[in-house]
Amino acid sequence: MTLTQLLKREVKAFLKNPGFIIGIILMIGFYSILGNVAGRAVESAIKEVSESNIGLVLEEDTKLVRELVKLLNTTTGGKIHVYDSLKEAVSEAGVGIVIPTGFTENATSLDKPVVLRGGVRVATFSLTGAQARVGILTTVSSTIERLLPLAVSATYNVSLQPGKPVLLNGNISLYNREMRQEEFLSITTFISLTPLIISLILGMNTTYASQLVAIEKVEKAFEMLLAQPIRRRDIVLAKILGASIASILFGAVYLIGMLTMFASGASSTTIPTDTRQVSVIAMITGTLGSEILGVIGLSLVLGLIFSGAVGVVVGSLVSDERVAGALAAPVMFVFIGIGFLTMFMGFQPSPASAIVAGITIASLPYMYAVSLLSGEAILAVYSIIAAVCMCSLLIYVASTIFNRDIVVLGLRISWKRRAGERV
Amino acid sequence: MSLSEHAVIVEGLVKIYGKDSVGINNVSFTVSDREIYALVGPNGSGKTTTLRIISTLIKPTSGHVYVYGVDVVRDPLRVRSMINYLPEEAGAYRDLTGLDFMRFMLSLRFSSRELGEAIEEAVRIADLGNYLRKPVRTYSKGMKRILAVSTILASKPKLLILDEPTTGLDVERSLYVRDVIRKYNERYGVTVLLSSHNMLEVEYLSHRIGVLYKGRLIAEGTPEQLKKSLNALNLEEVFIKLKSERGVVE
Repeated sequence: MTLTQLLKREVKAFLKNPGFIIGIILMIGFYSILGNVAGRAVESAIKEVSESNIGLVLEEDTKLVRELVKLLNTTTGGKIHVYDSLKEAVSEAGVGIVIPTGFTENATSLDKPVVLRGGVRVATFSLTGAQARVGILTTVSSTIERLLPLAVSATYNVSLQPGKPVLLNGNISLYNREMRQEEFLSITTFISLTPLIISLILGMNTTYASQLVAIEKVEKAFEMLLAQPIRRRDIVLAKILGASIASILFGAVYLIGMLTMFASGASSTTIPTDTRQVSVIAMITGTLGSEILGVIGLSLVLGLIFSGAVGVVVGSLVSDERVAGALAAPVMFVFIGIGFLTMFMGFQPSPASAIVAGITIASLPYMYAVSLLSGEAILAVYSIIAAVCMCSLLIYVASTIFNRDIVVLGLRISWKRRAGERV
Repeated sequence: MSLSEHAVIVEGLVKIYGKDSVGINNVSFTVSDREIYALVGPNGSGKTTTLRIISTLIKPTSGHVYVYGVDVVRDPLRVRSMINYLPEEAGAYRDLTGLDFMRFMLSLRFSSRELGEAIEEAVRIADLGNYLRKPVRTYSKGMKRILAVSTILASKPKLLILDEPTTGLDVERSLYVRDVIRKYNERYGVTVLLSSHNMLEVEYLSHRIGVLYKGRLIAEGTPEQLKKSLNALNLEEVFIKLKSERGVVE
């Protein structure tokens, strides 16, 4: 009985918390959109894979190769086109596979591996899109592996032992820069994950900043402070910077951890003949330049100002840290959602995308990488300008709110009672 | 009449919070320089709303307020440099010591030698001894109140706005704070605008009183004038009579 009363009280406290209600609405709305967008990204990646042509380069013309090509063409529904060079195949079809000289000999030998060369054209860092593209190469090589015994059987009227492995040495043409498959996957993962990690830090910063304002209200020192001869803008800036310092400490540890993980991470190629160990961080800075680390730092600084201002706005609107916490949590998830969106959707190199990436701030490193590799560096500048404008706007909004009654009185949400309802 | 002749001029002040919530309605009064003026009235009568508007914390819906001739809406920063405000539930940062809180608040107004003197004065008024070196979270409600009052008083503004200055204090501390307020008014010429439920306190401190009821100023005058006009023995009786005579008309 007592427990029921206590439980009722706890549930009522949450249900009557405007931050909780607004938070739920925010989460449902935002994550519905996020789910929709992510779903579309996956659909579009699947469609791209299913509609993709496959360019074949035949370095030897044997009966076995011709039989294999015929089978491959039937299996893929006529998507096989033959080109003179891998470069042409990748450029025209998007995906190219070379049937190399010696293929027939290796395919019919018991102890020699079948090794193909391949290439794929990619113009995205989106994990979904990129992995779908790379997946085409893998799919084609495994299809060849599956069809090879049939082709041997049909050509020589003998059966080849099932499961003879077909290895693929794949190269990726990322915005016309050639790189190995594992190098590409490392860069894509890094660039896609960075916005997510920055978003997480920004989300936490929002919580810190909102708590700073809300706790001051609870401590009842807030009104005394507001009556002092200081500009409200200075109070806002102090709170944003105060929260940012806490988040910078957290974020620095997090980023260092992440970079250490990538720096110590090493990958080896899947081809047994190539056993080189390559540092992932070296790959990333080698491809994108060491400036990418500076851009990540800049995104973090701008993002902390941005999220700090959002936190100050949240803290200004609420009356205590309970409501601030309930409202800051979904805002944090919105930030993380932006990170996920970038990871799934990616950004195409266009001015509109650059501005959107700048407004979300966490996606700045992603846009920088896209603009650098696509040869449109001006897009990175657009993004940075948009990010700076967004920060300035948010500081202005926070300062404006600090000059309004709402900062003292709190947000008042009243649900009208029905006539005759007991008070 | 020049605007700067009075410490405070309130003209037709209205504050509406929402559709069905009127904070104050057409309130007008003046406070002279070096005067102690008290706003009295029951809970929800509009005392805190009026003080918050004068302190530049919230903006009026309509009407005008001038502090030493300066419009509180147009030039709030200048007004804040002339006033200091003690909110009804003023507290302090829990993580700071009492001394650090005084130093922080006073550093927003003073620097170098002046700051040192102001802190010394606040320490003297608070009279909290070694407690000043302990975190505010260990303080009782009364100690927090005296800490806030002493910090505000030590800033020696031209206009001191005090919302229920002795609330939460025991009798001894209340008497002490009243004496200090009076001393600052007499010795340093600080104008005081305060609100209180405590009629004894109001009668002891105030030169003039404004009675607020349901957001309207229903009477104004010196304690003696009010008592005489309503044939009352004390201010509590004045308030009860005013409420029954004029409040019912509302």
